[in-house]
Amino acid sequence: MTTARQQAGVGLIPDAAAPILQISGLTVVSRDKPTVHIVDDVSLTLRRGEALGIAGESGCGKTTTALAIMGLLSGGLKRTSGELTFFGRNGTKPLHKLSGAAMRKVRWASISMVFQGAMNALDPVKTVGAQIAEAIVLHEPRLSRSAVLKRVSQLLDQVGVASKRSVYYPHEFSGGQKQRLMIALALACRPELVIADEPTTALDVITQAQILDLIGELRRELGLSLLMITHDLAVLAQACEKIAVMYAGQVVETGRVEDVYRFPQHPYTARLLDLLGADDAPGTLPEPIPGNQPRPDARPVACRFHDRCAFATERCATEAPLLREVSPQGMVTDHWARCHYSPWAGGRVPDRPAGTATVDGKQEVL
Amino acid sequence: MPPAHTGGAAPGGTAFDGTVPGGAASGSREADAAARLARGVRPTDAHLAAAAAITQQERSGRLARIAYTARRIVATPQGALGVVILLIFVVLAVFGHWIAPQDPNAPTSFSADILTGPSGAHWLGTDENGRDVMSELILGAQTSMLIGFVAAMVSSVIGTAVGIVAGFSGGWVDRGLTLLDDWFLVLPLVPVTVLAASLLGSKATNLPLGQTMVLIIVIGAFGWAGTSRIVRAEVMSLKSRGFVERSRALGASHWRIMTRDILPNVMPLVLANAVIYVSLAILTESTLSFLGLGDPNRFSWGQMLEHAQSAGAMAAGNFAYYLPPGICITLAVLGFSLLGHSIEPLFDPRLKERR
Amino acid sequence: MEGSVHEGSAIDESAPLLEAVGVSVRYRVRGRHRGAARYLTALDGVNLTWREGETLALVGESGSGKSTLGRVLLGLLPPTSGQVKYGGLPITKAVERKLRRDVQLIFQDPYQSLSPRSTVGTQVSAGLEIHEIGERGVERTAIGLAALSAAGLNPPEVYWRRYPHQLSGGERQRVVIAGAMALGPRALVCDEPVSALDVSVRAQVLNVLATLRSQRGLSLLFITHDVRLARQMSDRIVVLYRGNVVEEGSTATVLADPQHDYTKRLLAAVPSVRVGSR
Repeated sequence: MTTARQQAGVGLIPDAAAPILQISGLTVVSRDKPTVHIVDDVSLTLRRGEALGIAGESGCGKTTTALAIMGLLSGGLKRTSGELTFFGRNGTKPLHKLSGAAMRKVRWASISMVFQGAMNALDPVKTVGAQIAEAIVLHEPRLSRSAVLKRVSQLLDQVGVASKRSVYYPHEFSGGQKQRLMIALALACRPELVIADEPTTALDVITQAQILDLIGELRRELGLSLLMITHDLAVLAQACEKIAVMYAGQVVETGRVEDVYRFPQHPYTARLLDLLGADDAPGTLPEPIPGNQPRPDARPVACRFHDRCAFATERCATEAPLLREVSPQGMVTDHWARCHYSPWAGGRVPDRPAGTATVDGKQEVL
Repeated sequence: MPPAHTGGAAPGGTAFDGTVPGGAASGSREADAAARLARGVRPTDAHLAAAAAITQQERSGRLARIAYTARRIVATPQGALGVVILLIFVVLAVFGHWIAPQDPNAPTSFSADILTGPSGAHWLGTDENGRDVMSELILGAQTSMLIGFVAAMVSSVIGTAVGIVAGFSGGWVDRGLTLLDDWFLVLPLVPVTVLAASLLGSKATNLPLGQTMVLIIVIGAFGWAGTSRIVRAEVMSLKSRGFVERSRALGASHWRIMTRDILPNVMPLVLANAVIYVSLAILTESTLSFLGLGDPNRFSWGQMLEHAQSAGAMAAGNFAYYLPPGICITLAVLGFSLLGHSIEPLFDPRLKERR
Repeated sequence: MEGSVHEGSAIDESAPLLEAVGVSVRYRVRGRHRGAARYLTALDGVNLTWREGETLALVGESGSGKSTLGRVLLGLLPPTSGQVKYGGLPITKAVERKLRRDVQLIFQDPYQSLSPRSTVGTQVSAGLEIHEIGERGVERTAIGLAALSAAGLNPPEVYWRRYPHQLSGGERQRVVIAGAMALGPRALVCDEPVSALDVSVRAQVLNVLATLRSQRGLSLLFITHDVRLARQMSDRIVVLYRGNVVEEGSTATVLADPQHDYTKRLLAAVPSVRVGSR
């Protein structure tokens, strides 16, 4: 799969590149119940030109993290602590301190977003060209009409939509093309960082592969930094250099994709990778992880994964593990995990011990 | 249990195929049921015990649910206020004959003290015939409540039925009903009711409630179009939802789908609309009565306004005569609106837990 | 009366469970093309055989006609031309009733396939009422509870009075599965049963289906664009492309040695996680 990943622009950026976005200690709570931490002390660094994928299942806090960066948290949520620092071309900006107006300037012009379910986010009564032009004019009001139109056709070219189709309405495009248009919209103001929330989830495999290729091409051409949010570890592997796995509001493992996928250091990551069934013979099903991810208001104390973990000990139920740098191969590779027992003997979390219960017939933990 | 699966294309003759006459070949209902049981799920004793408990609870649970719903309505200030207002009017409507100081229809009620102001004997003064205004006001509640409730019910039932059938059937049935709907929708309610009430009025003596029945029929029959329009739109969107198709795949009849799947989902809409329609019906009755098309044998607030006006009470500044009926109409409408707003969320289970 | 309905309509046990013979579906599209009415061909003369006990995967991208074919097989959509046979019989009214009970449909979106205003219990026992299975009251409730248990929702009485919004996506999908299982079906048609679910929940739901299959000899038909799902669950794959069957064969063969260009493209597009192989 080396070629596919290279095609997608992965691995082009040296690790030493300067950071473009630094998240430290981000905590987001529910306004009604301030003790419920939706996102709990998340720290991540994204380097310029790099692609970082945040993986996790629905409810783990990955989308909330993205919205917090954009300053777009919904009314029911509140950021209580944490710093979000953006190192842009025009200077360093502490996003967490910006006023609404200042944040609006950063949004789209410096950081833009491809939203989840984006295919329905286009206005059905305006032509797609007009919608892209609108975004440009909003941030660069002094641009001449011809310059705007030129930029629109250039953007459509870039995302692989014929520029003469700018006068068409959204319903005249297929799902994959609409996703391309959403990407064009995100690039309209030449941002440095793009946040893509499940950019390929609603698409079928062939279209998904095309969109991933497009994202890779754009990263190469424009030197974009990418923060991708996805539940699909296979998609993530194809599009990103770095991964952060989130579970129940916390980052449980982060590192380079190669390291994390080959030498997973958190049992949750290991089980998620098993579930992809990459090497299973046809007709076999991977063993499911028993139970469900706990809701934010019902998370177990100590290690939040311990009640679903095949390797859990008493320590896991009493003492909260910290996110520690681990060096499973004896080398420092910026690989971090939140598990008492990492680095694991043998370099990775072992396969599930024999004889553990399956989910069938077993009561679910709500 | 990864290799949970038989592997390879299992041919038709698996174990269960041999033991179970899988198709309709067996013919008889018993054999068929046995086959299904072998393939399907078999309740254990624990399931039977739990089922018995659930059935028991479902029987006794109905009353508790109604009580619970009532408590929730009263729990909000608006709901409580609406309930209090309406309760007062309902009590007046039901027990008005006993509560009212005098029977304004009785010949003895007429007196020479006409259009007097409020006094100890007549709290709201007297009308142009010397009758007690207070008593007329109390008896008027009955007419308004009766017409409001029944007319709203008639129009809601017709509107819901037409809306569901039109939205669910589609095709020419939908086109026909929508055309009818449009036609009723553009008819101006008041002039048409005036016309209908005056045409039907002469035949009214044979009807159970006389002229009042005419008003109910007219207001009810001309008001369904709005409801059916909203219901139809909602049904169109519900129709494409997965659970309706699931019902179809289960083999549910159209009737079952309309009554069991679609009706509960449009009920909140219908109820909210019905409550608004009660207000509208009360107002229409008042208008018609004010125009002299009311039931001469009954008292109603609209009629009182008409009498007050033609007797010159307004010009004479006889507030106690013409203000109270107006206030009552406003209060009744307000009460129903408040109730409507607090009922709506209760029918949506998704909203039940909040607050 | 059930017996009399089916007299003379004996379902041949050796015949395929469901069979599509030259099925075409054309939709009339709004607007005209050079004066003639425009049609959209969703299925173009498709032949398909689904045998008892077999797990079949209908694979294709959106617009390939796979969902349309599923609906046609279930008799929910009449084909423009061609025929569907259940147990060797054309779908008449009597056969259709039988089909409705024996072959159940599991939908893609568990958030849409349950009515928001009815309890789990009501919806699980709906099929029992429709087909008049068991006695109203305790017996039907018990069958419904047993079906919830079979779908892995334990203890079932806890779920009985819940509303769909109180359940997670995986639990809703199990409720739908329970509603189907209550009828003791021969087969399930699963239209993208897990594509709306999270990875770990996906595995749980698939395991429930696999367990039901092995315990009760269910035949399964998966309608999916997810090649991974087809690989994990199916015995045989049928690849649909623009309303035509372009490739068909045992899962192992088709995946190892795809013949048609479209199948090759489809397989190549599946993202791989084997980053370690570089």
